[in-house]
Amino acid sequence: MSPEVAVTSWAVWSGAGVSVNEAPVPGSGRGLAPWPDRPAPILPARGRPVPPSASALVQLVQAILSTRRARVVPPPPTTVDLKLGTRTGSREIDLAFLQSLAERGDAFGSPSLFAYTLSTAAGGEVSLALGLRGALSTVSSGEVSGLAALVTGAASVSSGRSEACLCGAMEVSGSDSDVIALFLLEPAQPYLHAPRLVGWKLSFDPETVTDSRDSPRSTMERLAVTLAHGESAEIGASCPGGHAALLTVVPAAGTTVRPGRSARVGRG
Amino acid sequence: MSAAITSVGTVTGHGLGCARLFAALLEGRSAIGPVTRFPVDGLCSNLAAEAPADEELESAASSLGAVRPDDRASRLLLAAAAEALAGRELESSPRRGVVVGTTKGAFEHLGRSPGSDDLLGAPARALARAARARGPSFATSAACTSSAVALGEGLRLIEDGICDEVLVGGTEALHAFVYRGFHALRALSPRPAMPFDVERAGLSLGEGAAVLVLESLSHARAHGRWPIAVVEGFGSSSDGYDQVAPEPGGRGLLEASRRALTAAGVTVHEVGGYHAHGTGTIQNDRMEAAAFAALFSGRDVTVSAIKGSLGHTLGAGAALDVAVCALMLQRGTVPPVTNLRTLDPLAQLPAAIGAPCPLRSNRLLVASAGFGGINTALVLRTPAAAT
Repeated sequence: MSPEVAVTSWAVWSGAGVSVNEAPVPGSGRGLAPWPDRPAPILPARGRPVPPSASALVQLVQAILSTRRARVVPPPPTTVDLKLGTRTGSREIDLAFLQSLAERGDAFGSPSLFAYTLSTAAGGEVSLALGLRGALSTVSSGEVSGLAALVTGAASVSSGRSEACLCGAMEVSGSDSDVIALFLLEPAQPYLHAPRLVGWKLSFDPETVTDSRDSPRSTMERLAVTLAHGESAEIGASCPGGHAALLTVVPAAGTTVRPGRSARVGRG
Repeated sequence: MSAAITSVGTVTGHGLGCARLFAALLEGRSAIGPVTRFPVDGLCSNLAAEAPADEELESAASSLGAVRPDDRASRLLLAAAAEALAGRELESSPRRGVVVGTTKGAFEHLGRSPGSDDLLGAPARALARAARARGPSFATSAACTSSAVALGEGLRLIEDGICDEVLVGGTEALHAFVYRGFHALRALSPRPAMPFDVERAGLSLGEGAAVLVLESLSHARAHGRWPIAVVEGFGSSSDGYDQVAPEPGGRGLLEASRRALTAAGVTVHEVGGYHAHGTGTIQNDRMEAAAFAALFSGRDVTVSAIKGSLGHTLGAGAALDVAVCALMLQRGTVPPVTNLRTLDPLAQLPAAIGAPCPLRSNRLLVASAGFGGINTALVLRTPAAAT
């Protein structure tokens, strides 16, 4: 059991592009940008249609795990949980299934499409394709869902309930705020030269008026910037629904602490 | 470490409240009947277990104050919460959390407003507002294990000292969308679900909600509340087999059960009851029988299941399962598996058939399984065994 949690690898995929263990690619664009010009991860063939959002999640998880294996010895724990924060859930596939019912009739919905009308279906595809055998769930708490997934993931790793947890935000609805951002959390150990989470908190207060300018994407990007630059910061966010989340990030042990930038958004 | 369940509230096809629910289970009655809320013409079933109408739900929830949700899943949840929170003073507290499992949440609002809406989180927010909870508040979704995951998160919040009490819920409304989807999968039974029966023909859908108040044992004692039951451990795993079919050998459920037992700090020999997921599909029943055989190695462990009575309430299912198990532990009685008459020879479980039987153990394992290969288990015991 380690009270601190190491972030041993991370990746952010947005309309601007993909970054792995780096600051996110700046820019904008609707949906997720094409996978960049590098060797594409090899996905096991399943012989059935898989929605693009699920394939994207598998690609990103594979990139994170392979990068982690290449960077750090020993290898990551064998049981990795997957916890996705999502506000939009399976909205796009829900709408597609509704459309198919409207076009084909109530009795002729597509069973393969219906199977993906769950917010955990994309995560299930990761289990199928990459063999992850840990726990799988989504966490929803408005605009702070991604941070909430990180808070609950960090708590599970810190207490020893999880050997490792891939957690973050997954919002894919074809908009310019789309993002998949995942962070691999493991118990902090001396041999893991990695930035750490040393504090985390969730709260709820519907009576507090909050600044909702920050999207799940911008919050995840601020966290990735903080990690990439080796900074110490509090990453917080809140939303009009009343949810608030806060993560405290410090650089890898032995790293000279750089001046923390203001990464807090909303009231934190 | 563990958490006390100090009160429970439910809404099911049997109506409002735990008393009606448990009485129906003891009598082996099923709430599954013709669907009235939307057309089912041309589908492979016309049955489901519908909960009371919105007006009755709103009336039941009026004791919680002015929160008036505009979606059915939240109405179901607040009606269940009104029973669970009856008689409690609810001062605003950062030490009170809310975790709610659901698969579709406020689904009826899909497409009515911009895509920024958090439909899954709506019921949890409604409950947090009504209960003046200022601690962690969020929804969990994990297919049909959603509210088991919520219970696992609630247990963690208590064990880690983040909260003194956590209102853990599960809620699911019956939507035409989901009904037509299960029709597309050819999973719906044309007659009420018959878990583990040789003549089973699929599952029946239902709707409902459960709210359980989890507290630290010290907090419960300090407020003069005696636990109904104690949650000792939670475990989860993914089987990585298929999006909609469970791994036939039950290895995922077996692993989740072992993780729950490890978390609880007990061995399988200390467990004397198994509450099954028991959907009534041939895939689930046989998977579960395989997992049961591997876990209990032929021991005479009483098996219970409630989906023949309540239908499959999806994201609410595990919370309702745990609510019923808490009542079983409190009363020392196992209701029969509704609609089970003749065990499937390929899904042989020592299930309670035909009539209630005494619960011969103070500890139960509660199993859930869901699409995406997700499996969970929870360990419950009587409070007397704690001392």
